[in-house]
Amino acid sequence: MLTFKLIAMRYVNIKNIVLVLFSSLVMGACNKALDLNPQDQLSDANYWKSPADFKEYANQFYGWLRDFSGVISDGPHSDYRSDLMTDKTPNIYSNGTNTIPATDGNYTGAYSRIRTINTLLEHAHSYNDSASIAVSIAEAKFFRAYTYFDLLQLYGNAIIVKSVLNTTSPELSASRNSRDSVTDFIIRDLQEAIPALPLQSGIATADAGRVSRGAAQAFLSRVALYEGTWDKFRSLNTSKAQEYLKIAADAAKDVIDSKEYSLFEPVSLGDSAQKYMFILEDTKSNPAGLKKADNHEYILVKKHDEVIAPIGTNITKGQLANVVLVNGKFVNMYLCSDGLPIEKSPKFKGYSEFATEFESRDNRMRYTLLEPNKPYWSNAKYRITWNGDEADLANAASQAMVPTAGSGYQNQKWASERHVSDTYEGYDFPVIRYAEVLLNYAEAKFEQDEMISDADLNLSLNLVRLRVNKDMPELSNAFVSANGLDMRTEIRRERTIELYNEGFRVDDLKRWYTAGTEMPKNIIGIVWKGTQYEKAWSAAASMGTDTQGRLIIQSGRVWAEKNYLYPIPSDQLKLNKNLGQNDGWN
Amino acid sequence: MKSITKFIKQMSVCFILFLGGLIPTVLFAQGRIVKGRVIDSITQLPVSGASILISGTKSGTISSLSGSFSLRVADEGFLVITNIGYKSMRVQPAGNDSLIVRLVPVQQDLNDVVVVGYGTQKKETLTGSVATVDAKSFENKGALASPLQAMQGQVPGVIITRSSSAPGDESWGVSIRGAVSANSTEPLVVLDGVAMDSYRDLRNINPSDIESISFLKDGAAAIYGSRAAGGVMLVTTKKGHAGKSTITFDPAYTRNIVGLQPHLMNLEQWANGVIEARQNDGYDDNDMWIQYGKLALVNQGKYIDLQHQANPLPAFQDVADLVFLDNDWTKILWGNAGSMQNNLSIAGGTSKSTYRLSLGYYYDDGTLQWGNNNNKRYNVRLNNNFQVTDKLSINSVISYNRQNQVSPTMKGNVLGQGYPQPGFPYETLTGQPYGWGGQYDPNWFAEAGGDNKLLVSQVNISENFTYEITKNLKAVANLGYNTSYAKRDIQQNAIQWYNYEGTVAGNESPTQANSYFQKTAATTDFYSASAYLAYNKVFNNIHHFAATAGVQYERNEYDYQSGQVNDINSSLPILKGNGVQTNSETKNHYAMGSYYGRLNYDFKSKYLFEVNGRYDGSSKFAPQNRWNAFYGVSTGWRISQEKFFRNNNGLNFISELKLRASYGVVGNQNGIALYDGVQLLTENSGTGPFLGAGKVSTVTPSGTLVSYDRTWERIKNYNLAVDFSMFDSRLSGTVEWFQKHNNNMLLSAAYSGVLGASAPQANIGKFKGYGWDGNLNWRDKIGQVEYSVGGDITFAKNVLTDFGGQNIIGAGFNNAVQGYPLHSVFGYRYAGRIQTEAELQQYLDKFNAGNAIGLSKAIGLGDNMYQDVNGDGKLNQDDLVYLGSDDPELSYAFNASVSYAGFDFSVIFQGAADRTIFRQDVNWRIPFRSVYLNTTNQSVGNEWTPENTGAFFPKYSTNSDINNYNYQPSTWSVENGAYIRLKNVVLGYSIPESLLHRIKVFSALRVYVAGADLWEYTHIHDGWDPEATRNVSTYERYPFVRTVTFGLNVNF
Repeated sequence: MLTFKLIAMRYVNIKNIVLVLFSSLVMGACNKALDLNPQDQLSDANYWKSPADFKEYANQFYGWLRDFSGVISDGPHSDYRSDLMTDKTPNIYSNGTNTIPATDGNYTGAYSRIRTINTLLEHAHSYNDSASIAVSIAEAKFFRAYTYFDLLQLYGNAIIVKSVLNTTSPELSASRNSRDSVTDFIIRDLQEAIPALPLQSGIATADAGRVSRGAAQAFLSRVALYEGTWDKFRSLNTSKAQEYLKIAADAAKDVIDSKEYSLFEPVSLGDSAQKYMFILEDTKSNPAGLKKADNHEYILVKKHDEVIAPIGTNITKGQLANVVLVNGKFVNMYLCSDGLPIEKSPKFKGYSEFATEFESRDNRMRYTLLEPNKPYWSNAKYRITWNGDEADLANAASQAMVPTAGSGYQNQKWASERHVSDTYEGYDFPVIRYAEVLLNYAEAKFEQDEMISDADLNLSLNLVRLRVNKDMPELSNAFVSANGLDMRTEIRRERTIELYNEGFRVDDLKRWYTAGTEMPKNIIGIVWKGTQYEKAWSAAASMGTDTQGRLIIQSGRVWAEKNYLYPIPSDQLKLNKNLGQNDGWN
Repeated sequence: MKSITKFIKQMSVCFILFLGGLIPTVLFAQGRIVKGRVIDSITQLPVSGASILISGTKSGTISSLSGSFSLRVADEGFLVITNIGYKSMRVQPAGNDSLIVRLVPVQQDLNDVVVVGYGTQKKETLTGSVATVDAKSFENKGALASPLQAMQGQVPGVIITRSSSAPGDESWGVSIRGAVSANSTEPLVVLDGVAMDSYRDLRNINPSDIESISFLKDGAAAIYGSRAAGGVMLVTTKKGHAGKSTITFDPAYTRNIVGLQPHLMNLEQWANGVIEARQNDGYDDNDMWIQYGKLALVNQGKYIDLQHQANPLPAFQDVADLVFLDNDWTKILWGNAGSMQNNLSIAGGTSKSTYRLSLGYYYDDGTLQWGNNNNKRYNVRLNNNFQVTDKLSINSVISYNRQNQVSPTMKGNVLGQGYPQPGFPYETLTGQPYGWGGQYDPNWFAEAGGDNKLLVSQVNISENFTYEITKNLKAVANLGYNTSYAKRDIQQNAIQWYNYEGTVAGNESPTQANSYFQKTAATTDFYSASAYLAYNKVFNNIHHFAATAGVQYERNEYDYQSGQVNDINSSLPILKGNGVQTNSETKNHYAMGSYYGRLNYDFKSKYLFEVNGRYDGSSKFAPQNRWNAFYGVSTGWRISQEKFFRNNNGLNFISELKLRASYGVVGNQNGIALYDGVQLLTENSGTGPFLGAGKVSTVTPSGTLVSYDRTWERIKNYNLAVDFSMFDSRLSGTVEWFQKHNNNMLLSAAYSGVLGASAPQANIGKFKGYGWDGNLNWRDKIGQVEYSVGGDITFAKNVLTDFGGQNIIGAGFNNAVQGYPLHSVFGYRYAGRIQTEAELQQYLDKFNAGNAIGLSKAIGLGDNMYQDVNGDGKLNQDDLVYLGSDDPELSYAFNASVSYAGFDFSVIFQGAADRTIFRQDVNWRIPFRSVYLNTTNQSVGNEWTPENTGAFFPKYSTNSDINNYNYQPSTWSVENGAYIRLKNVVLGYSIPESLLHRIKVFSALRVYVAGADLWEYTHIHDGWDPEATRNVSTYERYPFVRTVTFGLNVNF
């Protein structure tokens, strides 16, 4: 503009050139001319104009959902950090030898996500039609709760950040908010999100995978149960504990009452229903040819697809057979088919032969672990006919597997049986599934009153326990007392068995305050001395056995009080003097 | 592919010979008495001692103290007037009027007028630090890839470096007095009043169009405010002068001769080395490489075709043959080439208008002998002056620059790794690409892999309006427009590789599916409008006031598009193919608004004062901290003008003595993104989480916060200087001391993770640069022999005084370490070689546990030892010692010239010192690191063996642990980068005027031969050119060339 003006004026009067330049620049036109916005990138200046912008922005939150990678390989919530399994290299978090790290992506990553979320919430605040973006706001709140729960589980106290911070914000030098206030913050976010979120049945196909009301309710039950039991078993704040446990039970009940979800138990799959649910794909992945749409148990998933979004880690080969060193302690937790633990059940046949241990047990045992002397398939040596006939067997990875490596107990959860290239498996990861909600309900109910009614058990835990064990007796108060059992132990056993290798165990031990007794125990393998293994796996002699003749996979484990929380990374302590280290880590 | 080059070369040689043949025989004539006076064209003062020669004769005279002369000349005779420091002049006396000869000074004389920001100043009253070069610097230098090439080492305080000889990719670097920040600080280049995007654009300017370049080195640059941190280069192009039109034609042909590069092992050396290395590593005769080496020694110059013969080396399964030629890959890849620069200009005008039109053509052929690799530059420049009215004048500069460059697309494959072992053939017996077990002829990637063609088309317009409002006040307005269009057509072809006999087609690499065509186009438009008022008045002949005040608005618009398609038909170089297609675009802009001004006062040209400043606003910052002020103050004292000085006969030998001091605050906005004040969001289409039926798009905030409080780095610039001239101006020089403090350097600050994003860089660092520079020149004549000697020196150091506490030192090159200069090299202290088992055991026992320097039990006799410098019993990073800086701290040049009877001869030596290089390319440095590649031959016969324990190199090994350990950065492995080299040598002969006069075609004719980089002295022992950078990969692999230029200067 200026340029043209000047050329035109050249012929008029040269003095005017000077005048024009001076006046236009001096009068502040210049400052305006310096307001330039990016042209090839979106910015806060040209975004946040429509509900579609808010929805698109919320898309990224779904990338943060827990996935297989955080569960089947080492991660803060992985069972590798619990007492259920181990890797060949000892896990420092599991054996209690982790130290204060210089930096910790779990800590800084969480706050980076919180910032991203708060950005949406701040723009929502100034958006004139808030009703039209209610779902996006609710999603943001759900994910803020989801992120804070991670911080709470890992570090306990945490600084609550409700707004988009800048370098002078007081939060940068604040001390951490207490567990309770963090919990209350999470609960409030979830309670505000729940009414705005759609029911599962109301979510359009195009939005499949987005958070439903049920997902927020289910997550609320998880959070409240976590903190309710955390407080209760540390006798910290009884009234708070009660309050949280009630919230947990109520939220779980809301999910149950919504009738939006049900356990995956198709007759066509019989007692293998649970096994095939975990590896369910839209390509034939189970004998009955069931697809993902047949599963109404998963409440919130990290979606995968062989073509669009493969899992991307070599999950079948990374989880199958002797790669995972399953702890004998866990295996022994499987009930016998009469509903009694192996110590009490007459049906338990001991360890003398490969097969005896697996006889008359909870059906989940043989579908979660590989039974010796039985065939198994993998993604490379896959099922052909899916009915175990000769053609099927001819292509099996092993027709009669004999364990001679690892702990002797072999995992098959998360291992596909269909033909698929490594890393291209496409089953969804259950971030929240209905079985957990049912077990949350049972536990919350029990912990509220130190008792649970048979009706409540039938409404929840028994559905899970009997799904693939149709002939097993229900868990009831009468059954417990008749057999000298402990209701709490049975509830926890059911949770441990059902949610094995899904990233719950170590957090459960922490909240139950039992990690101190459970975690230091040796990780053990099969009973070797005096059993069939002594001959079949003679090389295991070098591993050493305990008094019961079990292989010692890992010993010398410790768990100090400080291990219930992770240490705050040292860089953060330097950057914020008021942050405070967790107890025992100084 | 080489035919065009050859043709052009031949044509140039023919042309030179043709012109040379025109030198005619000498004739003589007689005439009348001519009287005249020689004066300085600027000061109007008489010039004494000037030589006045009758053209074509040896007779003449010398001007008197008052500048006058008289002598007898032929009726039609010409006079040639020469004097040191002035352009020689040729006049034809007409009538009986006393002749006034106005000699135009050429050298940087204290009487010169110097171009400074928004105006000119007399050098005698200049108080800032301003170095200048004139047109002469660009003459006789042959084909110049960039004007910077001609100035290397020759401007005090200006450090010019290069990193390649690749045509069009020379990467010339320039720094004025070194770094001022850990962020980059490039000099601002202003061409005829209009800022350039980057100094790199200088390469598109025709050097012979340059009239002068002023380097503003201190607070004098503050008038360019926020962009002046790296100093300012003011480039002024040549204008026409009133008078008879002159046509000049300057053709030059330059021969590029491959210069220094490492020598490779021959087949015998290589094979013996492989065997020795493998044996050292504990392999026996069953080892495939020992077997291969032995087979090579037996079969030198032959090959074994495994299609028809049994394989003597069963371990080599996937190969079709075993070939044991004795190739020198450096000779296969590199060879001499030619380049040329031809300039034609027409200049002239009247008192109302002058013009100068120049045309330039530059062609540079690469020394890479395979594929297409050359660079062409076309320049057209039209410079017009119009005196529109008595008061209004217009200076109009319009130029068009075009660059056409072509290079092999797969240059990285050619030069990215080491050379093949010498047995590897460079083509099959049938002349096709040869491939062997996953290895390929590098030359064929260049030859058959496709071309990367660059076209740059630039138009620069600068319209300057000057209006004399009163005698003392003028208004100047400048409108500038630069537009640049850069297009790249990149084609990558599939290559089919064959066995040695050419009978079996092996791999295709790249495959057809990976062949592609890519087209990118970038447009940059730069607009500049500025205007200022300039006032200049002398009161009572003693008070001289000058004032300048102005405003400016500049804006830059950039747009880049890129498209690519895979799986192409190689004979169809357009965006068409069967494979994946991708498109992208980048678009951005920035603007600056500024107010600037300068005040000068001098008292009797004796006490000098100057204040200048600029108030800059940049679109890059948030509005609240967008504006910032910069300023400079300076003062000078011309002691030689004082009475006590003049009246002191003992000081008479000093003609000029001036002290100067300056202080300035200049800004640096490097390290700040274009939209610092705007929170950017990154959009990723269809790559986010899987929701609904597919992956959704995401929009995420960029990980860095918007900064609302950071600002320009402000550099405080101190300068103290002495200018002197003595012995009747025969000796002149300047010495300047400088110091630069950057106390608010932009660095990434760490904040509590709760912030949730990377904090923006903040002004928290501290940096100091300091040093001195100077020059000294002597010029005189003895009889008819004129001569001059001179030199300049630059000593620039820096230290990063505060880096926000971060102080992590790594072995080797470090970009920024607190307490040390930028680009520091650290390494371990070499402690000799392990000679005995006892020594080995002792060393391992002491240091193996917990070491962090790669020491392992694999180490044995003949390997290096390092010192536990801090004595803590451990060898780790705490033992690193500072080994020097990758940047030369000292750079200098000497020059000398002599001329006699039409002959002129000049030499320039240039050098650098205090430079430490740790060569990063492992393929070159470490013998047998990759057993199947060749390496340099310095180690041959000089490697540790039990019989040669005093060798320079450690024992040969193919074990990467041992090699990495031995060759890690240490006092042993770094190179001393000091050098001195013959930068330029010129011998010229001007055909006598009398002779030319008879031909009546030429008014001046000179022939010359010039050489560049013909000799050097260096301590570098890895075979590379001393100017080579620490990286010698891809572009840097191009050997620097020595050049010989044949050229003509013809005036019509």
